[in-house]
Amino acid sequence: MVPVSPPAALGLHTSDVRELVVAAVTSRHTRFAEAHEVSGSRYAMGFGSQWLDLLVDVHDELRRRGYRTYRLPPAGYKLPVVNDCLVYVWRVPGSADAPSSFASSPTRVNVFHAPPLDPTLFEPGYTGEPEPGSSADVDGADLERVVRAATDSVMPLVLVMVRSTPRQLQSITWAVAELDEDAGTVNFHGQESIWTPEAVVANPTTDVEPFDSGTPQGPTVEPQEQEGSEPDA
Amino acid sequence: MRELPPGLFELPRASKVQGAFESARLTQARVRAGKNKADLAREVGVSAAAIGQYESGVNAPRADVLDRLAEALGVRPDFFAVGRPIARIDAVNAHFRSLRSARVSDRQRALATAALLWELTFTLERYVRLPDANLPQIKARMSPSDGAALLRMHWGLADGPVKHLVATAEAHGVVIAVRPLGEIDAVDAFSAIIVDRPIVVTTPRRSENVFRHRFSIAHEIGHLLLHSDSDGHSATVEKEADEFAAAFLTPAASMDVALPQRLDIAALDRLGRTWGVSPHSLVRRMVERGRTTESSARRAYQRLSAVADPTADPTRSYPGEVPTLLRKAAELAADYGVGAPALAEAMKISPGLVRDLLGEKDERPSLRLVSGNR
Repeated sequence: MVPVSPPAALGLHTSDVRELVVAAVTSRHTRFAEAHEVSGSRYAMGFGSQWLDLLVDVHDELRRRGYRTYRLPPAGYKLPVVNDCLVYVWRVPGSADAPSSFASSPTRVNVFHAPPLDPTLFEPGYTGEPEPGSSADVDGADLERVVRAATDSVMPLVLVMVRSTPRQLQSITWAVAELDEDAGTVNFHGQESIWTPEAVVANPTTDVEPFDSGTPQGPTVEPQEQEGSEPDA
Repeated sequence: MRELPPGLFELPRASKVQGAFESARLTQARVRAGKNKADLAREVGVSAAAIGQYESGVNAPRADVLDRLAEALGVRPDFFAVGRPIARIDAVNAHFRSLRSARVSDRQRALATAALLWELTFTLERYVRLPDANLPQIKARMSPSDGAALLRMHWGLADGPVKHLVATAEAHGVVIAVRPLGEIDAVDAFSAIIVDRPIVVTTPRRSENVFRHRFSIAHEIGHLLLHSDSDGHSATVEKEADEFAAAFLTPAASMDVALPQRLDIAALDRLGRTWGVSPHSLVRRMVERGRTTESSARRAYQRLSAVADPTADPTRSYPGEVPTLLRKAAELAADYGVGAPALAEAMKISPGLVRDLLGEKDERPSLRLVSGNR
């Protein structure tokens, strides 16, 4: 059964994974954009080579927090497993139908056929505590996960899609990806944006008065009332 | 019985030595002149031990020696007289910017300048009411960024760039002076609170560029707030003062919105001109806010150095960043008949030194006697 959305797939880990993925992607983008600018390259091949670093960055960050790893054949990429779902970060090519063509290599096809790891009773991670008053129940969620792992033959895939150019990180979205075996295309469930540049690309100086605007309100000095004018008064 | 340590603020009192000689005045004049005891002794024709005895109050100089001391140190003989309040430089806590290069004698010389600035302020206050010092009380162990937020609130500053920093600080009673390089160049910039009056002293090297100047002033205000009780000679307090300055001039919440997504030098330059900070400090802020890496920042610094023009954006082009408090007070005092000569008489120094402390250039022609036998 394919989860209807990334939050449904990742459960209680959703917000932490979202935050971690955004931090990793923006950091990696900044470094490659900087490298592109410094190199003065006319071409974007160097910039595009970040795709493998994206995979490794996110895997390493999640691994550091205790999540398990699935090694994807035949290329052997290490993918993190969160709540018995694979998380794959992909920088989307520029062509219009690119997202649905994700499964364009044997390795990427295999991501849809990854068998669940051996069940564990407790999912690792750095949170897991439900909000006070929440209907979420840790024991219940773990039980559901164990049952799902036992019944499903493959792990769901949460696909993180990054769109960027050397000039700008344009968007980060994610969705649960499902392969249409007959058509060879990928369908998305619960696709949503997890980062957009709008909040930070708006000209930050337009609404702000510069430090030197207006007339300085300097110190006010007044004559002392009780003192005479003679130095020794 | 042990003698009590010297107090910061010495009121007129009976002389510790014979006559009316104030020993601390000799120390003040000597260190301000940048002379050691041996040099002064040679110049005056006494032993170095005698100078030490004068300064420690064990002995007092004879009248003829007093005159020679005054001449050698460029002060009037009655400068050494008791009867005027004096800020003892051995009791002032100050924070110096250039820790590595500052020798004790350099620090003492700078402190002597600060003490004289305080005395000028004190003298002016007999005739002119200055803004009271208005700095918030900082709780122990408060972080620099919290301290910066507290000061913004205490001074009623709106969100956004700190406008006219020097004018604002002076309006809240902080005395700010830019002293010539030869006088305090070894310590670069420093601050002290002398008898409740916060004083910040900086040099043309710091004030040459308005963005560097603002950061330096904010750094010293950070010392005044955070480190008023410490002697301040450590890299840790310097780092805290830098953190304070960054948080005060460019609060994290504002920077999270305003900073570009990547190291775009042109964008940082535009942003810096709005917030009144250098692109360098914004690059540092990007590292602190997780927008870029240390290695990228290093490359950015190299690029900034390659295009830097130290003469661009001089402080003198920004009226709100030029100190005016002491000059305004002196002008008002002069309006009431207390000009530089009267202030000089009260302080027992030369009118030229008063004008110098006020940051005025002495543009009067220099006169000299010429022989009539041509």
